Amino acid sequence: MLKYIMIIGAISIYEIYMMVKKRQMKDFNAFLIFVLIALLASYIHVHDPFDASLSELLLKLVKSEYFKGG
Amino acid sequence: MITLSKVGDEMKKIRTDIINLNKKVDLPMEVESFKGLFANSHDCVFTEVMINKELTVHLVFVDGLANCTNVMDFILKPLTTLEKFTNIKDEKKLIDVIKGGSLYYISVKETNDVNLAVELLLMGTAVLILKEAKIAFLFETRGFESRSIQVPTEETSLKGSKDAFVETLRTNTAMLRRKMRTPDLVIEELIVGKVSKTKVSVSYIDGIANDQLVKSLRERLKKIETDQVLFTTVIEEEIIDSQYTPFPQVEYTEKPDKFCSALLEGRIGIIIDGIPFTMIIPTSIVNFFQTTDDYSHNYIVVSIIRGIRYLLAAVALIVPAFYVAITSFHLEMIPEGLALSVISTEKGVPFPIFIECILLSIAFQTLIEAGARIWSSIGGMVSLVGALIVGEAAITANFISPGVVVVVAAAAIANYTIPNKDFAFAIWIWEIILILLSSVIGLYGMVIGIILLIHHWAQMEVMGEPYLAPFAATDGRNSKDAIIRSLFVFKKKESLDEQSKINE
Amino acid sequence: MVKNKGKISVRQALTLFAILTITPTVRFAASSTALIAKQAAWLVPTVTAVFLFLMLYILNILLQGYKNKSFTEMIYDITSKFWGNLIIFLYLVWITILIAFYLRFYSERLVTSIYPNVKIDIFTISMLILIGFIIRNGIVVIARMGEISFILISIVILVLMIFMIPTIKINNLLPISYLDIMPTLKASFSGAALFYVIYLFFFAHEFTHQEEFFKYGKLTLLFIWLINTVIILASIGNLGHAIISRSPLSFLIAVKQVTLLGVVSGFESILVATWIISDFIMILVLTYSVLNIIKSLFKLSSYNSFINIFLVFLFFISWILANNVFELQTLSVDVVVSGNIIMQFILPIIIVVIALIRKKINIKTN
Repeated sequence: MLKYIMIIGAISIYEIYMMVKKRQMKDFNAFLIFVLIALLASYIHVHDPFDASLSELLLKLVKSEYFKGG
Repeated sequence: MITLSKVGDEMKKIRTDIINLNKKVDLPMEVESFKGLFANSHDCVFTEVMINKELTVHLVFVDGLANCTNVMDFILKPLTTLEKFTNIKDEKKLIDVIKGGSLYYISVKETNDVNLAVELLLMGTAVLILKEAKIAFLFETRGFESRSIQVPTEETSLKGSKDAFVETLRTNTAMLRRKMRTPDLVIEELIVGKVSKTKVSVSYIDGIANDQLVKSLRERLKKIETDQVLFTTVIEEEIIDSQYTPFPQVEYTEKPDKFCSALLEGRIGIIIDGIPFTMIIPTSIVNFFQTTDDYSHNYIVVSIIRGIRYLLAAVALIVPAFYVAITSFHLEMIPEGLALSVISTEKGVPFPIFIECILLSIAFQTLIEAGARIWSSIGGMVSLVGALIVGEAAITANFISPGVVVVVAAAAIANYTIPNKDFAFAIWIWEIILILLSSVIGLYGMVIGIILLIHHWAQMEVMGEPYLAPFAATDGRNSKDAIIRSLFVFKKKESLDEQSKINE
Repeated sequence: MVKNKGKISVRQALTLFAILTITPTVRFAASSTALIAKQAAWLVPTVTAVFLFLMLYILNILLQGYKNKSFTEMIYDITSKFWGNLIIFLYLVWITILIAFYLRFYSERLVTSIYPNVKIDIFTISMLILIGFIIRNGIVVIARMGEISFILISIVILVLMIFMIPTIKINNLLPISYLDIMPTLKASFSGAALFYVIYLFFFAHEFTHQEEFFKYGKLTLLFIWLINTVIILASIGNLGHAIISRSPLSFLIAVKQVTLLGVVSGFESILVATWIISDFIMILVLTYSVLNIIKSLFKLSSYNSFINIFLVFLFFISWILANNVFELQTLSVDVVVSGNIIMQFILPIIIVVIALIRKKINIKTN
C-alpha cells in the first residue's frame, strides 16, 4: 500500500506543481477528488474489503450463471 | 583620409561591422576606403586609370571573380582610348558621358554607398571610383570559373534527362527556365549568411504552390541567423519543424527534372549558391520511396516496384528484431525443424543473439562507411576483405552464428533498396532500437517499438504538412501516387485541381 | 498546409472506430456467434450490419443537428443540467470500466497466449506508460497513428485470410436453413455491441467535414461487416462451430492451424503483434474520450493534469475488476455486451428522440 501511496503522492505533487505553473488552479478541487478515488482504488486493490472482485459483484447483480458451477 | 598605415584596430572594427548585414559602415566613397577594407587581400586589384593628364579614376575588382577580359575590353580600353573620354576635363562631364551610355555595358549602376559597392565587388562587380564626385559606377563583370553541367553522380537515371545541377546558382536557375518556360515559375532570391552572404533561391510555381507555405518559408529563411551557408544543413535545420529525429524532412536532388516535377506538385524548391544539391519541401514519407525513374517506366511495373520498396523497408526494420524476439523468447512459435536449426547454429557462440545482431548490423554500416571514405582504387577490397574474409572467419571462429548473418545481411540489403539514403540510415537506427526492445521482452517489446515509431512519425510535420501524408492526413490527398503510380494524364489533372483547391 | 489544426476529419474518426471494433471482433466474435448460431454464425455480421446502419443514420441526425459540438454539449442541450450530468456520469463510469476491462483482458491474453509465467503487471504498466506518453500529443497524432495502424491491421488480416482459405471446410459452414433465422438474429445482439462510434462522439467537437459522416460511416460499416464475416468464416470454417464456441481465443487458435505450403507456420505471432497495436489504439482512444468527459463534467480548463492520475486509477480498476480471466470472459458475455447495447443504442436513441420531441434537431438536417 505504501508504494502506491508514494506513487500517487509523487504524481499529485508533480501535477499540482504543473497546475500552479500553468495557472490552472481552478482544476485543483476536481484533481483532489481523483486523487482520493485513486487512493480508494489502491486500498480496495490491496485490502479487498468486499472480498469480491467488481466482476463478481456485477455478475451477481445480473444473476449470471457463472456462480451456478458445473 | 584613411591611409594604409592607419589600418589597424579601426579597420578591423569596420570590417566586423560590414559583415554584419544590419550594420552599415560610414566610409567615404574613395579608393582608400576599399584599400583599408581589403588591405591584406592580394586578390583585390586596385588600378589607377589615367584618362588624361588632368583626370584620374580608380578601378577596383576582385581577380578571379570578375572577368578580366571584360574589364579590359569594355571599361579600361574605352576609358583610355575613346576620344569622347580622353577629352573630358572634369569628373562631372565624365559622369554625364558614362550615364549617356558611352561606356556601353549591360548592367551599370551608380552609387555613393560603400556598403553596396563592397557587397557587389565580392560578387564579381568592377567598381569605378570617382574621387571628387564621391560616387562609383558598378559594372556587372562577374565571370569566374565554374563546373560545366554534367551527368548526375548520385541519382542515376535510365530514361530521364542526364543533366545535373552545378555549384553556380544562375546556371541552375537557367536550367529550370529551360525546362519550364512559364512566367508562373517564380525564382525569388535572398541573401543568407552574415559572412558568406550566400544567395539562396526559392522557386515555386505561382498558382500551384500554396501561398501560405511560400510565405512561411520566406519568413523562416529571413530569420536565419548564421555566418555561412556552405552546407545544406544550415538551411535545413532552420526550416524544419521536428529537430529531434533521425528521419529526413527535406528531399534533396541534383536533377532538374525531379526538381521541376516537384514544383509542379505544388512544392517549393530551394537552390543554394555553391551547392549542387537542391532542396524540396514539404516532404512526406512517400517522397523517400520514389525516384525520378518511376516516371520514366511503365506505371504497372513501377507500382509493383514501389510496393516492394515499402515491403523491403519493413523487412529492414522488423526482421532482425523479429528474429531476436522469436529465437530468444518464443521458440514455440516457429516450426520445430526451424527451431532446432536455430538452436544448433547458436551452439558455441559466446554472445546472446541480440548482441550478435547489433554487432553485425554495426559491422555492415562500418563497411558502407569505409566504402564511402576509402580511395576508389582500393574501394572494392573493402567489401571483399570485410564481407567475405572477415565474415567467413567470424562464423568459423564461432563469433557469430550463420543464422544471424543471414538475417542481418537480408535486412541490410533490403535497407539499400530505399532510394533515399538519409531515410535508409534512420530506418537502420530504428532497427537497432527495435532489436534492443525485443531483446528485453520479445515480441511485445518489438510491437512497443513499432508503436513508438508510428507515434514518432505521426507527430512529425514538415512546414505544417503531416510526415505520414497521404497515408495519414486530414484529407488524404495525392494518395493515388503514394504506392500505385497513376497514369500521368490523371496525375497532372489531380495535382493542379487539388492545389487550386488548397489555395482556395 | 493542413487547415483546421488540432482537429481530425470525420474519416479519421471513423477509422479509429473501425480499429476499435477489431480487438473485440478478433477476441470473441467467432466464439459468441458460434455458440448461438452454430454453422450459420458467418451470417450474423450481415444481420448486425443492418442494426448498425440504422443506428448510424440516427447518430447522423444528431451530429448534423449539433455541428462542432461534443456529445456532452449535445446531452446538456437536449436534456436538463441534472439529467445531463447523470447521463454523462453514467458514460464516464461505463467507459472507465470498459477501458479497465480491455486493459486487463489484453494483459491476460498476452500471458495466456505467448508469455506464460510472466508477471501480468509488466504489460498493464507498460501499456499505461505508453498511453500517458502519447495521449498528450492530442487527437491529431492519435488519429494519424490510427490510420497507419488501420492499414497494417487490414493487411495482416487479409494476408492471414488468404493463407487460411485452403483449410476452410465448407461442411463446417453449411447447411443453412430457415431454422437458422432465429439463432442468427439472437446472435446478432452481441455483434451490435461493437458500435463504439458513440464513445468517439465525446470529442465530436474536434471533427471536421462532419457532413461526410454518413458517407464514410457506410464505408466503415462495410469494413466492419467484412472483417467480422471473414474472421467468423475463417474460424468456423477451419475448426467447426463446436470447437470455436468453446475456445476463449478462437481466431488465434484458427490462425495457429495455418501453414504455408505445409512448411512455414507460426503466423499467430503476427496476429498477436497486430492485436497489441489494436488494443493499444482502443485503450488510447477510449481514454481520450474519458478525459474529454472529465473535462466537460468538471468544467476543467485542461485535462492534461488528470492524465497520470486517471491512468493510475485505471491500473487499480483493472485489478479490482476481476480475479481471473474466466471472470473476465463471463463479464464480457453477461455484462459488457448488455451494457454496451444500453450505452451505445438505447441511451443515444432516447437522447435523439427527446431532441426530436423538443425540436432541438430535425430529421431533415442532413
